[in-house]
Amino acid sequence: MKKTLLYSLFFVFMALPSLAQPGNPTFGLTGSTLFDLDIRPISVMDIEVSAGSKNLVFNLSASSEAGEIFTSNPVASTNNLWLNYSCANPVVGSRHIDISITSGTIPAGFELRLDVGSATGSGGGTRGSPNPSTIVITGVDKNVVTGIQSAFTGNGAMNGHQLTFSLHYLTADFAQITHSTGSPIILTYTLVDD
Amino acid sequence: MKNSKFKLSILALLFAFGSQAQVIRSQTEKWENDLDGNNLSTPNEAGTDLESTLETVASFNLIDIAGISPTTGWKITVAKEDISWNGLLIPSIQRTGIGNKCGSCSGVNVGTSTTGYTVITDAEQDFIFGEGNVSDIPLQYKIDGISLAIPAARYQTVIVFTLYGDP
Repeated sequence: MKKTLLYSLFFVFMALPSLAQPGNPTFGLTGSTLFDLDIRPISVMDIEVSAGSKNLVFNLSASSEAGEIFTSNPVASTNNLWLNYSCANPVVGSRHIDISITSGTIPAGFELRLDVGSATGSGGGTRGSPNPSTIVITGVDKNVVTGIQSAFTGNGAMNGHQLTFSLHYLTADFAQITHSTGSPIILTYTLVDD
Repeated sequence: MKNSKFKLSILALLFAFGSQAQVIRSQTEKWENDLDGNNLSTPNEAGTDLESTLETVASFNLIDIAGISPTTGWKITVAKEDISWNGLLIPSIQRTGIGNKCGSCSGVNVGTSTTGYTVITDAEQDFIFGEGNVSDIPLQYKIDGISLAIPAARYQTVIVFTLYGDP
């Protein structure tokens, strides 16, 4: 009989906490929403120009002084191109950008060279490091920028990496230089996962 | 005598199971965002950063409070429990309405509840106060600080609402 009474009291006490009445203690019940934010791979790159065209046009003139060659070497250069990119990749640690000639050839006796500036402007994240050496552009991929992680350079000229192209003549090969009316060359930049 | 004790036990049992328990229910379980080049400030434009803020519609989530007597006060706190999160990502929440209160309930107390966005932290913060049952309290979320400066990864945190009685 006492046992039955105890059971009764037990159930009454079990019932009390589930009542929502004034004076009831803390409920402590929870509900929730999961925030799920997934930054997926982003690979966007382009060339911006501060003035003129994105095409490099080098017109060479002979020296006005007989007996001399070109008045300067490099014979022409331009630094109005800027390399912009936005990158994210949760899988690979980093990326790099290569450059190569994918169509046409540099006229004999000349070299097209590239110097790459450090990232500047309004970007953020872990932008890449420029190739510290002057790049001689050929049909083989050469590193322009390495170590790009999640990053953005800022958009437009004066943001990202300044590209300085210069056309040099090679004194040793001067005999190969001939007049031509134009040799279109296509330079291709490639963003590569490491 | 024995029979009456037995009946009392059954009555208590029915009382226990028949009484309405308090409930807080978050109707939307997940806010999912997959970010790619389309989420850049100028979509797919090289050099641009991700849009820094993501925001839901005003009634993205609805909260229900049930099983409360009309005169019983309550409060809801909000906090986050990180699964994998980055401190540069700032989640916020705001109540955008009062929902639907029961006929004799006071419902959401607009005066004591927070207004505008509240930054959600690991520590519980008082969020909404009210009295009696209320359904469909609309909530809006946002996340600030989104950038490619944050390593690309999947970030998750659980926004936890806790219901307390008689605040």
